[in-house]
Amino acid sequence: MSDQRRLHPLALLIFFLKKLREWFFVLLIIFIPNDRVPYKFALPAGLVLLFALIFSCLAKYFFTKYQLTDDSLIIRTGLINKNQAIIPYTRMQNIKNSQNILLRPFDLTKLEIETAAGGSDKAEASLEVVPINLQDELLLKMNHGQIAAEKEKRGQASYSMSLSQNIARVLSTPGREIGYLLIALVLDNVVDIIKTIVQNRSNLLEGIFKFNRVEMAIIVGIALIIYLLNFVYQIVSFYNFTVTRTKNSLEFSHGLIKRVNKQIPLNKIQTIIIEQSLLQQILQIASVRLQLAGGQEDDEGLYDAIYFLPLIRLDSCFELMAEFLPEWELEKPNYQLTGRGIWYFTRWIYLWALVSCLMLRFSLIIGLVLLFAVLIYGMQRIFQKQSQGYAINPDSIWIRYYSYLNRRQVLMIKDKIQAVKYMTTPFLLKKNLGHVIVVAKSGNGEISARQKFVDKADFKQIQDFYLD
Amino acid sequence: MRSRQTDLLKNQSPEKIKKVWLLARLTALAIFILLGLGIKIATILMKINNNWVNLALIVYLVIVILAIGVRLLAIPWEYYFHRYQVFDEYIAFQQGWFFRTTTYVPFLRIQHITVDQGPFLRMENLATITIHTAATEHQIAGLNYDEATRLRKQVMDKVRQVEKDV
Repeated sequence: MSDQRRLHPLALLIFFLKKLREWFFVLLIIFIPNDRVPYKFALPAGLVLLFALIFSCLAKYFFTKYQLTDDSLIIRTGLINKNQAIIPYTRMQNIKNSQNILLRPFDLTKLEIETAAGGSDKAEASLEVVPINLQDELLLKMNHGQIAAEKEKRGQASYSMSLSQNIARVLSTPGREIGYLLIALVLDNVVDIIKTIVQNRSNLLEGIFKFNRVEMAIIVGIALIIYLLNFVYQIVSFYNFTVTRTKNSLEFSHGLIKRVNKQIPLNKIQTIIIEQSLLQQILQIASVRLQLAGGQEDDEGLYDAIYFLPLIRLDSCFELMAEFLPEWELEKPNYQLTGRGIWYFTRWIYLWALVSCLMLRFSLIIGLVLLFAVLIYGMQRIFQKQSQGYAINPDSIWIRYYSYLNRRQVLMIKDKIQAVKYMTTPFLLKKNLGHVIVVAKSGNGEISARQKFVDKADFKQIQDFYLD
Repeated sequence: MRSRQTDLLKNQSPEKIKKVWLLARLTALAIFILLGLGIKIATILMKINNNWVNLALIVYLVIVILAIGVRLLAIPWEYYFHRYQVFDEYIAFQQGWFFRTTTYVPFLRIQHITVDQGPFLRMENLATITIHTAATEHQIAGLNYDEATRLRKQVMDKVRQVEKDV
């Protein structure tokens, strides 16, 4: 009879650090003196919180056990709500390991085990801190041999990202920080306006040119710090990224402080996305990622997708992808462009521009931000109109469109497309135009590739491709 | 009627669904209005007499009446444009009066089908079929319960059991 094992004691530290990260802001508010929280309440409250966190870590550690029986892995967790996860070895599809920098000197790792069903946000089973041999033990027991055979490397298809490529990637991918910064500025101003209205009840029309320099500087400063932290985080997370093709899957490995190794079976791939931010479009470079079935896999910074070729020149990316996936149809696509009617694409811009100019009267900052937004929106619409298109292969379709200012080329496999929609209004119908949406599964949700103001004939092509 | 939209699908739901929609939306309207009245009565009882509260209530009432009113008035059009059709390899759905969407779903993609009956639908012996694919859901509202069952069987027969991953 197999024994029940506990996690390695280092798990206590790992749990505690995680809790600290979760509760960071609360602790910050409590322990740093400020006007909101009187100190004599703060200190005991903070200590109580800390003790509660420590207690929960201890509880989690002592009540988590795992066991390797003859035919399955059993993980038992929980103090009050006891939970048992039973995973037969034959159902295990792949095992992902991540080694934290703390775990590496001790030859420990975190294991996440996925099954063929793979349908929820977290892996079916995860063991936070276990000896790295456990992965080999599990692989031995997974006797359907598929994973074992993976070790035989197929061909020479491999890619690794150099540090300079990594830096180029992070620098050329705009974060959402810009958006947050603008929103923060606008909100700050809106709060001021509301305060003035409530207090003064007058002079709304005088126009509020409040340029509180200190507040602005603080907001910009915080945004910069967040950007820098994110920059470092991205570089470190994808340090030395490599991908290799093995018999039926792709093997990925990346990370400096936490090294992640994972294997993705090819049949889990739902779509391939080639994405270019605005800067990347100018430089003719791109970032290729994959969307998978099931929700466990996504890389930091990406939503429901993992990196395949994080940074690559656009003209060589199709060749390289074809090396990895020769069974797929990956020649450079010849797009059939579909955007019709510049007026349709741009008609809302004129209205918003007008509104923004009016807003300038009330608040310089809000007006400027709105004008900036209108500019971005206008650019997006024009690019979309010029760029949107599709290219049909026997078993898959390439669709090119813009998401914000990022240009995307998405390869959707016919079998993985869940539905095809055509949306129109009575007015557009008269001109034989409509919007086309192709929906495929991505992670737990869906990805929809949209084309706007498309002629019905083009839609008929796409429809025929899909429905045989 | 020869309309310019010649590409409407063939099948519509039974006419009775209009009555169901009417009832459901009238009820929603009534509930919201009662809620507003309730708040107003509460403020009177608590002797709060604030212009802002009255203004907010009036705005709320106007929004509710407009929003639900439009949906009530749109029932005939919504009904006319809510259609479906079963083809050889796929099924197509249509909905919407102003924003018209036609969705095509091959049988192979269908994962499972549910049939629901809310209280208003039960009264008229109607049901709503929801067809689920791996990533999306599509509804046909207001079929006769028998018709719904028949359609469900028909669709499920067409869904071949192929060994697919997703």
